[in-house]
Amino acid sequence: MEPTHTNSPVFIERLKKGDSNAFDILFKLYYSRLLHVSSSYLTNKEDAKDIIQDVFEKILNKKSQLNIHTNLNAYLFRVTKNACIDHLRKKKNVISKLDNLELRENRIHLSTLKDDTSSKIIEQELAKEIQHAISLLPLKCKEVFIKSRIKGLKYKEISDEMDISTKTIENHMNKALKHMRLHLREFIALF
Amino acid sequence: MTKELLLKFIENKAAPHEKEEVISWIEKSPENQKKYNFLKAQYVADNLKNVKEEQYQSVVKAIQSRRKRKLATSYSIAACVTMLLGFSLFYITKNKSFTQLPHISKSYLSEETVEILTKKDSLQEIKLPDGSTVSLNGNSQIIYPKTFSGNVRMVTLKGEAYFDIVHNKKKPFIVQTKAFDIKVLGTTFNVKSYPEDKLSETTLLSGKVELSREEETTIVLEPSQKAIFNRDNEKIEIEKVNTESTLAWKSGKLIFNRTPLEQVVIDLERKYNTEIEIVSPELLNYEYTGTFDNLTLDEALKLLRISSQIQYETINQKIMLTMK
Repeated sequence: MEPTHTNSPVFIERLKKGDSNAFDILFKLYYSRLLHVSSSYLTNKEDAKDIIQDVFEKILNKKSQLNIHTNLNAYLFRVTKNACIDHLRKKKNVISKLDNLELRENRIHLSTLKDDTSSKIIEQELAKEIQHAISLLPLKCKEVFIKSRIKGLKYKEISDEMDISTKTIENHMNKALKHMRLHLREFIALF
Repeated sequence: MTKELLLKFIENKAAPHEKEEVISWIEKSPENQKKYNFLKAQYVADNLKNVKEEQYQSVVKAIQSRRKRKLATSYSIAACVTMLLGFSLFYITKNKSFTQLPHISKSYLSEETVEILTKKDSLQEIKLPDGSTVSLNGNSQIIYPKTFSGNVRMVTLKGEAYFDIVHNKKKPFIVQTKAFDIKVLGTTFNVKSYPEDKLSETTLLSGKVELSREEETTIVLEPSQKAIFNRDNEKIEIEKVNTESTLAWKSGKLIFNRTPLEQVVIDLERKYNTEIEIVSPELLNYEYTGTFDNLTLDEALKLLRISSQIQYETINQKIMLTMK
């Protein structure tokens, strides 16, 4: 796969090596979106947050042993989904103060998450959204952004590859980041 | 089943009776469940576009600080031992004199502590080292460490306070009171636990809290629920509450809703720094309902007289309540 997505092998390799820039990008692109997924199935917002924190922590801690080969997006979605399922399963067996309706609703969420055909829809949309976020950039800008932030190349290396000056690369990066700030709120805190 | 109603349910906008209807319909057959699953997935996928930025900086920090701890293993083991030692010290003190606030020794927190005590008629806002805020009501005391260094963030409370806690899953926030220990991960809640009151109350406004008392099982509160611990029979009751009246004290209001007069008197004494006595025995079982919105003591007593069967007179600066 061409390394234009966080799904690219180059990006996954950087994560496995513990590259903090790659991890930052992952957080910015995925945190809010995965939280949206977990909050859609769990009634308690704090539980939904805890689950996503665990997902990221797992990636950071396991690093090199991560069982991701080609599809980071599918991996993130699967881990999130399974964590939600585990959580709802645990709740199912608790004789709790929850009213009957809430217990029945939990059971429905559980079956919904276990329906692979349906959850595939969300997984695919998630990949598309991430792709879209990156593709909003102007062409040259995007190329520089991908080489720098997805592939993790140094400005000097990009300069050699694209045959443009490092000054031009800096300009493109500034533009890319400004664009990100305008169009992708997730990037605000990063740069 | 209409698609509109299903969507309303998915958007969490359905009324309770509609919810019941949708849930029953989904449960009726696997085909219905399948139809619902598809609609729900479509909805979640479509709304990925509208996802708003969430605050994740605290989450990043929490993960990072936990990782740092993992690297410095020997250091963290040492810290754990100190914590354990602290816990046992605390429990010894606690069992010995249940009525007194646990004495916090320096070794317990292995750090310096800050102690804040409010006067009877004053409120105070406090910023804790982790950025959480506490509003302390009058005649209350809070003790907390200068920095939260261990695996938990622990404070001790006597009196009433409203907590707005910064979320950090890896470092639970624990409020110790005479009645229970309250463990939270990040949430807003109110605690009322004055030593002279018969009831000790914890009200959850958002998030999640766990209450534990000695070896008894843990109670988990959902938002807008209040746990009341009764010191007389040592029973814990859970009830739904109006959060507005719970937080009324923050804006100088006293709101009573079928509150036993005994408790009304305690609250009034605390707010106005005065002494009030219930003279007529038949008033002991009287339940009062009314709101005192930033009134002076004089206005409050007049309102009490107008709105109830209660008459008052002042003898030697002491207010005596009698039945009309």
